[in-house]
Amino acid sequence: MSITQYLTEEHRKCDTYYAEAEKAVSQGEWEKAKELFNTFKEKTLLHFRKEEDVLFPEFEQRTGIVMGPTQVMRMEHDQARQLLERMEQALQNQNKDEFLSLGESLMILLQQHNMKEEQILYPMSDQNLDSESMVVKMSELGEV
Amino acid sequence: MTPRGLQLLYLPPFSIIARFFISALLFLNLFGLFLLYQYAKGELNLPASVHLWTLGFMGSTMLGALFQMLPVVAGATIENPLRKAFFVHTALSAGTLLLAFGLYMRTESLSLLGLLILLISLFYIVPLMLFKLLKLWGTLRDAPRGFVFALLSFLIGIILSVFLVLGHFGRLTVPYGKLLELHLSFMLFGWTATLVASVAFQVIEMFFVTPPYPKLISRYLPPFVFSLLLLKFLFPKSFITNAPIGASFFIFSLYTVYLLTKRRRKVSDPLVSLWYVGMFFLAVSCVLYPLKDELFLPFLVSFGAFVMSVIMSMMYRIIPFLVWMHLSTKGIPNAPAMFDVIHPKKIRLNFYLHLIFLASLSLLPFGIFLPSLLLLLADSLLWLFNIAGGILVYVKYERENPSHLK
Repeated sequence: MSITQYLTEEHRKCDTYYAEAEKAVSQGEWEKAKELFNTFKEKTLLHFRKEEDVLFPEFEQRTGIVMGPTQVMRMEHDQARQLLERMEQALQNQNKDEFLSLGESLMILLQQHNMKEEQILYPMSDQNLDSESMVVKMSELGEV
Repeated sequence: MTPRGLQLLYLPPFSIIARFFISALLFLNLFGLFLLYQYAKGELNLPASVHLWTLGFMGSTMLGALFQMLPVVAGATIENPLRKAFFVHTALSAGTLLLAFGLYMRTESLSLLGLLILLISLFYIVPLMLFKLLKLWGTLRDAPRGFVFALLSFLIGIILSVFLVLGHFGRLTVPYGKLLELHLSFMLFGWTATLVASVAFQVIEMFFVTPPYPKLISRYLPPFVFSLLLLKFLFPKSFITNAPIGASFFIFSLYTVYLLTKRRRKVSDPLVSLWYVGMFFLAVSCVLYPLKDELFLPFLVSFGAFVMSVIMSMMYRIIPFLVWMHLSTKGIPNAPAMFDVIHPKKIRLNFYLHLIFLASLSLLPFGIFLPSLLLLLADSLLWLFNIAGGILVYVKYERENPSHLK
């Protein structure tokens, strides 16, 4: 399996996790929403970890591009992490508006982030790295 | 190897899109006031009114959006964007006002001056944008490839407008009806509908988490429509070209509705509803397009309702997101979330008002114009107020956090 296929599939899974959490929040089912949001957060952070701990360092080492796309992706991961923290807080306070508002920003941020990864960074990684072994290494961290 | 991700990080200054969008909404309000004024005088100058809308409202929105999207979506960086945007925005606004006023007053010198200013700015920015995109053609995805065909159509539409204005004032003997047909088709379907469709290829999936458009549509619709438009030079009013152009966008509108029903995010959202409304009116205008010789005003009104609805949906998503994104990228702690920029209640109110306005259009065939005119003004004014309020949130944070912002 290519890096592109493997990580793109994770993006789609995370989208589904978020859509379920968002639906529960909008219907005011707070307990269910907490559970679904935790899954979404946990899986999203796991996905980030696979990239930051496995993919990006290898990419930077092989291509010599250190301040390039990987740096941009790390920065956007940090923005997403901040939003996730604020969303968790909104969920604790059962503040629907706040949660949905932050979620809207997060979704657009993640969608445009994913687009860049899927169309630029992952294909570049597949070209420059040993895809099979990278996928094995990332899988060892867990399943999204 | 070029790290194109670096270019994709680049966010054009917020003031660029803000100024174009505010101008667009000011022009929309001016258009409403102008129609009301003409109604009071018992007249309708269609060329003047239409160009306030197409150049002022649509043109400002679309050029502002392209300044934003070229670097972000296509990785095509426009150097010194602030200076270029300032020039294009100023010239577009001034040129549109002069042209519309000149056409209304039937004053040749004002119209020609307006046209000249428009030509200078548009012949500067449109080829520049085309050049930037064509340089990257091999790496472009479907959406920015669609921009290329939209910009080419715009360029052809502008060239046609020169002949039309000269013909209008009797300076040149031209086949006016045929040129008008070509100008209108290139501007409405080649430029506007193609650009909206190309943007949709990118944002429908991104904003609403839907499946992607099939390649047959996203890759081939823009060049197919553009080829048909070129064919219109040979057969300007033929059903052979008009029917497939209408059918292409009819299919696009149906497929967009289908994708939206498949969206994974099922929460109620007026911005999704605006796309449904927009696609309904696009479908109607596609049916009316081959029949527009008999049904010209219904065609124009449907097309206008399509554009207005889709632009409303996109503006209400883009402005709050960009305010958050710019402030967040510059390290503002707890940058305002999208609902803090423009609250959904305000958007919902505008959406309902917009629906009432659109419903009132059904009174037009009975010769009842005033309710639509007043509702158009209320709709546009609330829209302007909300978007300006969102932009002011950015300004407020900028003032309060000067150390974070350059």
